[in-house]
Amino acid sequence: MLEIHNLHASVEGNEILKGINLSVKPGEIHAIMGPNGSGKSTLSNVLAGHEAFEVTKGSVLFEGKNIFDLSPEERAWEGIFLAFQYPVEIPGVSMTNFIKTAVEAKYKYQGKDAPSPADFLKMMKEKQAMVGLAQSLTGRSVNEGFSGGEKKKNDIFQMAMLEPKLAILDETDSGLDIDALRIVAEGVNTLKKPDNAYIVITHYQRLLEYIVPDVVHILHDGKIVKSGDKSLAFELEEKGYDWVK
Amino acid sequence: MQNLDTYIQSLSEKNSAPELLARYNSFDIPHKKMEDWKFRDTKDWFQGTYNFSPASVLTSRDVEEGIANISYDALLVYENGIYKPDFSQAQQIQRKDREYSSETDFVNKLEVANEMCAQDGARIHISSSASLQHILIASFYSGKETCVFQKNSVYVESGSQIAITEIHISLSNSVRVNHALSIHTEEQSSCEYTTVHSLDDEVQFIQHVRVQQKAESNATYATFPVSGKYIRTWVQVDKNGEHAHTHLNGLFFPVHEEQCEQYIYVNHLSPSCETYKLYKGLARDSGLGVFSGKVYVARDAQQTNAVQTNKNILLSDTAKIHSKPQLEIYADDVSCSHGSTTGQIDKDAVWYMQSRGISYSEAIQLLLSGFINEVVNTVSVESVRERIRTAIVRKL
Repeated sequence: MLEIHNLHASVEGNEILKGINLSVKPGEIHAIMGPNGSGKSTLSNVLAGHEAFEVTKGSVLFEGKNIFDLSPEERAWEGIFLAFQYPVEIPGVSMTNFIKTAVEAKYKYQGKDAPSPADFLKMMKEKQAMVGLAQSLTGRSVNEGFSGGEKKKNDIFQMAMLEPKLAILDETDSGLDIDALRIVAEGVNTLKKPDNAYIVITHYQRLLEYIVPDVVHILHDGKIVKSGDKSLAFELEEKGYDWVK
Repeated sequence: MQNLDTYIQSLSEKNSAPELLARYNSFDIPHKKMEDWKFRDTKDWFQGTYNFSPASVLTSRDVEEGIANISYDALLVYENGIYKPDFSQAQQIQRKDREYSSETDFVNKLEVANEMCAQDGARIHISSSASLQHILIASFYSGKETCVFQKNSVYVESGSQIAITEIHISLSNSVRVNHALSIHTEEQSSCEYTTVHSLDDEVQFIQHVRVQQKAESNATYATFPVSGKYIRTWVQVDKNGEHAHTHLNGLFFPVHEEQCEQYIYVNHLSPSCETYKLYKGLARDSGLGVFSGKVYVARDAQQTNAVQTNKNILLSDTAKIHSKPQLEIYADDVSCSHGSTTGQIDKDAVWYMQSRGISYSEAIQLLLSGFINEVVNTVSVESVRERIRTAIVRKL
């Protein structure tokens, strides 16, 4: 589904990604772990299409399409979803309006009819319950006044509504207590299907006990230096990042 | 065609109002070295020659189009400050007599000019026996090189309430308007007055609003200058009684070379009163917006609660918004806050929306709609709210 080949990217002239190679197939969960500054967030932002990051070399194919030909919203419509490390507050824009606009845009791109208001509301209630997002929050502006955990749950809720093919969770576990972590992981596990895939970017091994990866990659100084199965995460936890340097 | 001084002189002789003429002459022409007049020269109002008594051109079609889709219980129509009973539906409205007052503590030459020249504006008396909920005032301005005056006054009897909307509509592009409004809310009464300006792009409009509140009354004054070259609103609220609460709201959005200025002054003269000011500004192209808000709390006005908020978004490199929130507090048991932010569209919020599949332009629309809705939603009459919302969104 996702083919990253020799990806180099910089921000403000500094090269952060120095040749990433990664291949993700449908149904797989890949974990990317690495110390601060290794390029984890840069990778997720480049995949989602943030304009501050410049791709200097390499290619990324998503379902055979060159994603650099696509705008951020087109990448979203094609099925790429980025769950943010720090979800932003958007005062004045209601949760319902926001998610409805996103869902309708995707349906339109795919040539499908948007769901009726009644169906849409039903869908919202269902997905909210699935991820444990309180009913009271949907009446509010996006993320406004939400706790850290609620913001993360909101991202998972959006994921449930948009049904992406590839979801990139960028340090979703940061700022979450163990209960919130479990709920987020449950949400992700419920949404997991044989035809979608996940890239879980995390600092700590803890999340990977709940979202079990098929492959673990260790990112260091802009390159993937080691890949292995889930036991690699435990080894890393035990030995620390100095082990891979 | 004559200039303002000459016109005023002739009126003063006709109506025998020497005190007012003296007051008028005692003021200098407002000029840019004065704090509240920094942003525009007013010489043209005094030195230009204008037609002060234009002929009527208003048609029923103008009225229909001007008030389209707005619901009301009574309609008052004015053209160039003169009442048009044939176009109005006002049987239920009690009209007050015109009073000329030289006792008002006039704030500048233009306010005195209005007092002397405004002939026949809306003078509404609301009593609790009236079953009116919403009065619509449609004020039209017409003619070539005209300078017109209108003064409205609203008196709300004890225990009564009313919502009034006034829409200012220009029928020509070379008219300038000097408008005044006075609102008196008696004890335990409530008045919501919303002003909307739909003026052509060369029209200038200066307004002075005075609100006097007695104990336990509620007054809401909101201003929505949607279009017009120069729209200046000056509001002063005096609270003369405990538990007099005030809401002052406004949304301004100057584009091209439009200029919108708001000067909003509230005097807490009695204890236990509350004031909430919410003014939001957007500016694009070379638009200029000004918000100057002050809350004055007298020494005996303990337990005052006042909140002033002014949030602005600049949509271009040449747009400007000046924000000056002020507090002058002499009592020691009060809660007063003011917040002012001026910035650009939150790029992180736009990116967040794009990553969810919302296009860049749609994301901006959503953000700006959310921004304006906070003020637009304070208007209680739904049809007026929608009229304002549609007009502002069209400008986005």
